[in-house]
Amino acid sequence: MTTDRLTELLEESSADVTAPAFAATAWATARRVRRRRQVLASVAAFAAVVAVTVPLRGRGGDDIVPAPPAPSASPSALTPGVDVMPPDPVQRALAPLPADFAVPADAPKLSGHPVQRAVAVVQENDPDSADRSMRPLHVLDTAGQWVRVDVGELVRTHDGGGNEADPLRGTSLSPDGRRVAVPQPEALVVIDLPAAKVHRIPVPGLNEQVMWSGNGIVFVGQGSAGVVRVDWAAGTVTPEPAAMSAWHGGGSAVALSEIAELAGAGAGHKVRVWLPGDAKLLREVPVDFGLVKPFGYGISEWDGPAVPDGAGRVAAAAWGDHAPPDGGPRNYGGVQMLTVVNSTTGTVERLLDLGADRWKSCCRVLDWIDGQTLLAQTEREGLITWNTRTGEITRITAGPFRGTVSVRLP
Amino acid sequence: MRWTGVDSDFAAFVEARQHRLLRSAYLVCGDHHLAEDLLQGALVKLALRWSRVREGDPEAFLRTVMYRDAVSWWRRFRREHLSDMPPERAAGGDDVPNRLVFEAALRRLPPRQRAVLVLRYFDDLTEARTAEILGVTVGTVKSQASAALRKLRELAPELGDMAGKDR
Repeated sequence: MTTDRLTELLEESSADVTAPAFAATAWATARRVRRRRQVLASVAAFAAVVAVTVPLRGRGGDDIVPAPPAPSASPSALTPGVDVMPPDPVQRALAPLPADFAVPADAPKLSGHPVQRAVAVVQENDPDSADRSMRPLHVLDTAGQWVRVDVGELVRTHDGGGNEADPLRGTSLSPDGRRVAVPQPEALVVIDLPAAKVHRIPVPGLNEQVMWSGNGIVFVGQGSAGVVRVDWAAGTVTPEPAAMSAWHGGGSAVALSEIAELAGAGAGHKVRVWLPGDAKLLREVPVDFGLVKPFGYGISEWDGPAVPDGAGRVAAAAWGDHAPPDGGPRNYGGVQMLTVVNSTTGTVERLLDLGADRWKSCCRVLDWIDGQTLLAQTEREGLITWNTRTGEITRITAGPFRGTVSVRLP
Repeated sequence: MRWTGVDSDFAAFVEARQHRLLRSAYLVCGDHHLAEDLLQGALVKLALRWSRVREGDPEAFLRTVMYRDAVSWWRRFRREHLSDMPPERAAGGDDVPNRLVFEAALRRLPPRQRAVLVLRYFDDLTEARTAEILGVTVGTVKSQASAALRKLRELAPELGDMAGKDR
């Protein structure tokens, strides 16, 4: 059989597909999107003012200790603007992350080598490999030693349609680097690294996402928005009134403090900020592209969690358009980016153009190293840092890492 | 169908291509409803930029958006693993039509490999054009196509040796 036969099979397999008429619906939807954008733009300034004056509301549960509001962003910490990924960034070590990021096959087992504090947890996954078996989790301690997690039985997560994913998430490692939260069908697994012990807490449903709130609470999400609150040490599971999404939120280092998410595609992007325990949004502001639009950038969609810097900003990967104002080559929908967004004003303060020659979802924000430097994973370079004040990009690893990484640098 | 207010060039463009593009989307994602969502989403993006894109290459724009969305949906949320199993085969294996065996095998490929196969062998695009649409190098297209054909051969050996013979 030749590739001509392959073409025939592709033709046969799709022969029964019938197409409704799409044009009128697409045009009408686009018209609604344009109107909504105009409305959002006109209320943006008003919403930003309201956002900074909304007081913290009381929350329903007596067991919840109110968290302090996040401090507002320091205007000196970040310079607005656009940076472009250089073709060959300078490589510079970021201890204790190793330059090769290769997980050794003979790494000691966690059961015999408890880890007091991890800086990273990884799960290898090479989509091009013929070996489809699930790889174990490995943690990297503060001395740069890899340890294989051999406690607990993990399986892949899946949704109702049978679509599977390896269970480690970029948000799995706790802020103090001592626990790893792993979503599982009908359960949440928390791996206690210093104790080398696993806590398996029954959580009904096909759990797919996790995010930490401090070091004691894990919010667990399924296929859509909405989470349950798990106190892993107490083993309690309670409904969470705040309808936040563990797909878009990055959690918070301070227990029960604000969690921001970047939402919306096409029809109006928004920053949504939730306070755990409160069913009402703390604030919702339209995203303001005013600082990056003059450079010709527009965002189609954010991708992955919005990682907070603890000072009122979040960072997330995105993709979108670039139509240079000077008339250079235009690219619609194919430009991959990292962005920093002010969660109070909604302003996209800084943007890193990663280029158009990458897969969508190629890149993700991992953590803030300090008040101005982001650590991110890219499909081509591996781990990079982006200084959002100076625009400097450095390469941390010598090559790409195929798999999921969760990082919490001390 | 109400055509009131729709740009006539846009309507004509979509009408001429929607069936073929929907079939492509179906082959890439394996689900009719998801395929319609993908195409509809891409068409809305095209409509939003129609005044700028119409003079260029709107079909390339549409394909780029659709294919990259198809691949990214899986990559963002499911990491490219599908648990669908091939259809049960009757004793002797002759009772299952080749088409069904092929579809089941196709669904078990990672989405990026499916996208490469569909672009190359259904849309009949060159390696360079396929690379452009997916935002990857020609080398990646070659390696993905090769891996996809090898995997298809493993999953559905009864379809014969389509991996080693190019046109």
